[in-house]
Amino acid sequence: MNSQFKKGVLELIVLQIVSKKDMYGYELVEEVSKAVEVNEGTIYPILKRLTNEHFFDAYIQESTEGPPRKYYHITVMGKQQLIALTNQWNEFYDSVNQFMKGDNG
Amino acid sequence: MKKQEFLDRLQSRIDVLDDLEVQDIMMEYEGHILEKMNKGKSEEEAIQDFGDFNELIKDILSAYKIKDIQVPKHRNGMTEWLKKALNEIQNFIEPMFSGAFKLRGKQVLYFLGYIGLTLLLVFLIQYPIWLVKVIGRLLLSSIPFSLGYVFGGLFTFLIYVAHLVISILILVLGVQRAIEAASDKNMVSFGISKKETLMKMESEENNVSTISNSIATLKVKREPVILPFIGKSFVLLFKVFVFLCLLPGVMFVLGLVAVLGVMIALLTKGIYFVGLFLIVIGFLLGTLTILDLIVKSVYKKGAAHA
Repeated sequence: MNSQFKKGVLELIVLQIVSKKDMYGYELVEEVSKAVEVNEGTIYPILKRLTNEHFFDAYIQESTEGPPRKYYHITVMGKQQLIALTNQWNEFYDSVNQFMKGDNG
Repeated sequence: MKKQEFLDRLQSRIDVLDDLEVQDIMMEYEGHILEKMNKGKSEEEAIQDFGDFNELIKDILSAYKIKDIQVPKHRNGMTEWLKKALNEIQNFIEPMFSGAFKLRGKQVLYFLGYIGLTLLLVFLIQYPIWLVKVIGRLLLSSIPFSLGYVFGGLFTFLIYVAHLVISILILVLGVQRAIEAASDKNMVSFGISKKETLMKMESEENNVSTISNSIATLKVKREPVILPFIGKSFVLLFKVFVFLCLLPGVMFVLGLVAVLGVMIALLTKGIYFVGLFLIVIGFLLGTLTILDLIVKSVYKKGAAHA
């Protein structure tokens, strides 16, 4: 899949996943990989950015296996951002689809 | 690439970020690698899955709205070579220290650097002190009667004591600095006890919120402390040096006062040397003025600038 496509959508996917359940980095990477094929290293910068922009809160929890894990939790702002992005995505998707159909027909 | 190598390279490339951010990023990637290894992958495989290293750095820095500022390799072969050499040294020293102090190679280097600097300072300080001693004795030997010997002996003793005190002071301060420098970046590794880790996490959580308060997020790391340390120690050294230079002056004044006393005593018995009297008073006033001037200009910044 085109990497330029992915970049724009990854934020939406990450927001969507964390809005369902608090997650730690590795878990999230696996979850995202289910939706789109993605380079594992690139998820962390997105998490950092979303945290810095107040869309996520982060907290640390001990784990039974290995080091403590940093969990991400969606904030109210994050939920609003998710709604906004979803709407944008839908609009974009519809208009592109519309265009493609019109073009072909 | 091994995990440690990957983390070191990562750290060196995101060094422009705030220390806490660097720690945080390192923790995430180290955690990720460990999780993968738990799932049965090798270190190398886990790191390979991150893809191209330079792309990764670009992605991380772009999250902070910073462009990756890597200088093309062929242009600074020298720096690269130096870095490699430093890495080699790190790899060599690390096992010796990391076990005991849980330090990373970089911190070990910092630590050793500070210790070396301190020892150098302790070694160098003997020269100004020796100079002061010689000048002081020369000046004091000009005091008449056997007072010169007394003051000379006293002065030499004072110089020895001062030398000892200064050396100890420099050593203590240097070691303190070294430990500070080493512990500054100490918290990256996971090898710390659980309680510490917890405390670390708590403080980190606070930091996460404070960091997120400043959305633009670029907090450039503060300068390495080594330069101001050298500057400060030189200023300190200079001040100590001037102080030691002043000592013979003070001794000289004391000697003159003693001579004056003797002459006043002689005066009461009807013996007076008018010429010597005037010379002694003149010297006394002159020395006092010079001393005053030096003290004001070196130790009181305000007076010097005004």
